[in-house]
Amino acid sequence: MREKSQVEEVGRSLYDFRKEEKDAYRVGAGLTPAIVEQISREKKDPPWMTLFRLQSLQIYDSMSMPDWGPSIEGLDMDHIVTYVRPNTKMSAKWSEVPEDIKDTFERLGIPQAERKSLAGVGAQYDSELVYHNLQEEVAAQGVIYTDLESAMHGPYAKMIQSHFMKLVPPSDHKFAALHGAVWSGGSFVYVPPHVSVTIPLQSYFRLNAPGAGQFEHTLIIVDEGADLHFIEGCSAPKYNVANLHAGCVELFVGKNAHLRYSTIENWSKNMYNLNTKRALVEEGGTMEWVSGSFGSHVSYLYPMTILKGRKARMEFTGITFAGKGQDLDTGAKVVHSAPETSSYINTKSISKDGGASTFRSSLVIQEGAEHSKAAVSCQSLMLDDISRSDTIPAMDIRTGDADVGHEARIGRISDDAVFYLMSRGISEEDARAMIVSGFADNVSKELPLEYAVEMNNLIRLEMKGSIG
Amino acid sequence: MTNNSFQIDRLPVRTWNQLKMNETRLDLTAPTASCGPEAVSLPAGLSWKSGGIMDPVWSQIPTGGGPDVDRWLGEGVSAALLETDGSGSQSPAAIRCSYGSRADGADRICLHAGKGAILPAILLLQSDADASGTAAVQIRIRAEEGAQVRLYVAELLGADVACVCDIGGTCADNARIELVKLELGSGHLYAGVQTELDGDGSSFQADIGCRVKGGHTLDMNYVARHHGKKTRSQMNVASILEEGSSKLFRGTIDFPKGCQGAKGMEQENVLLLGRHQRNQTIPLILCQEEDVEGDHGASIGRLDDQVLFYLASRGISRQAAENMIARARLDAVCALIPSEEVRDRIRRFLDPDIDTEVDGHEGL
Repeated sequence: MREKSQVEEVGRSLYDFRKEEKDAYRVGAGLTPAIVEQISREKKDPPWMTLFRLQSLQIYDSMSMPDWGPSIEGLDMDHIVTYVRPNTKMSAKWSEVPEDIKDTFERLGIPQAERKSLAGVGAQYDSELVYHNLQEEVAAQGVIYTDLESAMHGPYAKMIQSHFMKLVPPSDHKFAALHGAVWSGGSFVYVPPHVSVTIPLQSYFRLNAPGAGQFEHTLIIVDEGADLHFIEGCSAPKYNVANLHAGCVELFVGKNAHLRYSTIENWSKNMYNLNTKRALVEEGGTMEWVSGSFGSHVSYLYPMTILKGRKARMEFTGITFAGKGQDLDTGAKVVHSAPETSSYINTKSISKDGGASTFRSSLVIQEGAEHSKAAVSCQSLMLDDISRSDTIPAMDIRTGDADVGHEARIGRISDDAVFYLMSRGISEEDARAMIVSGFADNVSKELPLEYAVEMNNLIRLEMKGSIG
Repeated sequence: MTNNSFQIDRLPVRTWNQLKMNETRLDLTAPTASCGPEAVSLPAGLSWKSGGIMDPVWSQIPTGGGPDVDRWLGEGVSAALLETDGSGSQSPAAIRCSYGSRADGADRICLHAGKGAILPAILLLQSDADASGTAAVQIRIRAEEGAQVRLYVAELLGADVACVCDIGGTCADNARIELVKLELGSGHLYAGVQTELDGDGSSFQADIGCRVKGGHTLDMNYVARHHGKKTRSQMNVASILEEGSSKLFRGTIDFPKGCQGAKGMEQENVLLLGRHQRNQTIPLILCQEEDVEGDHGASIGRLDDQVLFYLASRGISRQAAENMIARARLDAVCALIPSEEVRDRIRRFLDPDIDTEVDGHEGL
């Protein structure tokens, strides 16, 4: 019988460190109109937002839990604290950020990355942004990158009101409604027409408080002919109680504009990640998603793109790595609403050590979207026989004039490939890690170098273990 | 006759409800009378018994339509049994379900191939062209160790006939089920097929050809469940969708824990002939075992412009070219049926104007 290698879980000290909650303000656990009103007061919401939050709560109460994905029975909303504010104000200088919070982001490498390779950074700690900065030369081009709350009270107030939760209405699903009721933090980006932001912007979300939820809202508007690369990172220390992330990302890609949205998600393995991301792409616009999902206990994550204008296009490149105790349900959705639109979904998933990964997708080509083209490709790798990997791709083609291709494959690491590498002096553990890194190559090559290195480190971290 | 609402063709794993692919809810009156299936040709090595009630042991074999179909049909439905004597037969039995002009009929047919035996059977579902009503046929297959069951189903019902064709099968060690199915006539067809590959080395192959005409709907659920080691499944589906048609294909390869060395493959090719039709496809792979290989692929679209241009340069119009390619895809499935007479019936059904005659016949 073939001897198997055992890949064991190792420490995640890079991400799994915690800070004491000092003088933080938190609302009570659970979800009531009084708590929602309390959050609204704390946020100094305009009246329309207070009303919006309360209406969202009503929708939340009226909707049932999803009956089709991983179990979220361990998530008890009565024990989730929906708003935790660190005892600091947002600053544009790291030196003004409290020492323990600054230390957190330094250990995660955010200030260093900002100096080296980013045009702007937003850093959120629990429910609030603690740092936000944009390079002067980028700001001089008219680019707005700020926290959403400030923007809601400034000159872009009307723009925010006309876009906020219009792509993801609270009635979309139960956790969109929850987000509408208790959202806090997040970023607003506006790129004026024909402005190209050549260096990426990044938001990093850190959830430090045990038993808390993070509900940041990211709203990005890339105007006609403009170009932006936005990077999102997230992590949290592991606790014995459930944490919840129900963020929302709304992206508006204008005519002939281009937006790349990259995510390296590395939440701790007690996290329920029920995030919603959606993009609307106008004529000739391009939306690119690059997504790496490594953390969380349970994930429901399917970035959706609506190709609204003629010749709009989207590309989704993703990888999911599910290890011990993880049930990661990830994928993408695309709706072709206009003629000559195109989409390409390309994902890889890896399951090991009892982890479960599900690729789930939805491709809809509507009746008027003639001459549209779409392709969906998903490949899954099983690293042992105690894990699980499912693929559930759905295609709904409502026009006769479309061209759609789909392929999927599930398998394991080839013994021959491992043997070949071992015959060249590479240990079995390293050989398997190399093969998995190669399997994930389609994602890492789409990321800026520093983030590709981080992703490969995460894979090596996951793969590190003993051979027996 | 009683009115019944029931679920059919349920996906083994659910997805977003708004896609409306998880299952289909039907409101159909369950027929109570039998259409009177006949074994019009029965070679030596096979035996046929009809007119009884299905032995409850058969109901343990799950079907693609799901348990609601059993409840909908009820226990009293007439059942027939086709089984092998000794080593069975290389020649197929020919079974006819003829619904005439009033198509209401419900029947169960059980196919049992004993150890090492071969059971080939052709099932023809037919009605008058202007018939209406509901035709329901449920087929359960048991292939014992080393046995082979080859089932060829030609559905040539009238456009106003709603048809529930529900199949389940189980394979012991090294047993094999082959299914060739042409779904061509019924205006509302619900076709479920589930195969339990229980035995090591067992296998399942399905070759399906469908033509869905304007205003017609076709709802399918194919499941291959690999329990045994080194089991194999392959499902090939060729669909032709005409203007105004609607089709939903669910295909699942399931690798539960313990099926080391299993391989499964499904492929669907959909040819869209009109400008307004709806094609839904959801091919699943469920995997709890490391040492397996699962593949699925789908290709959905119109005829390639280069092919059309090539044929146009030889004087063939777009319409003629589309018909020719569509027929070629169906003919490829039709050619697998081991009866010239049935193949001829199918050709005439597809193109009533052609005039073909075949020497000899098997009584279908």
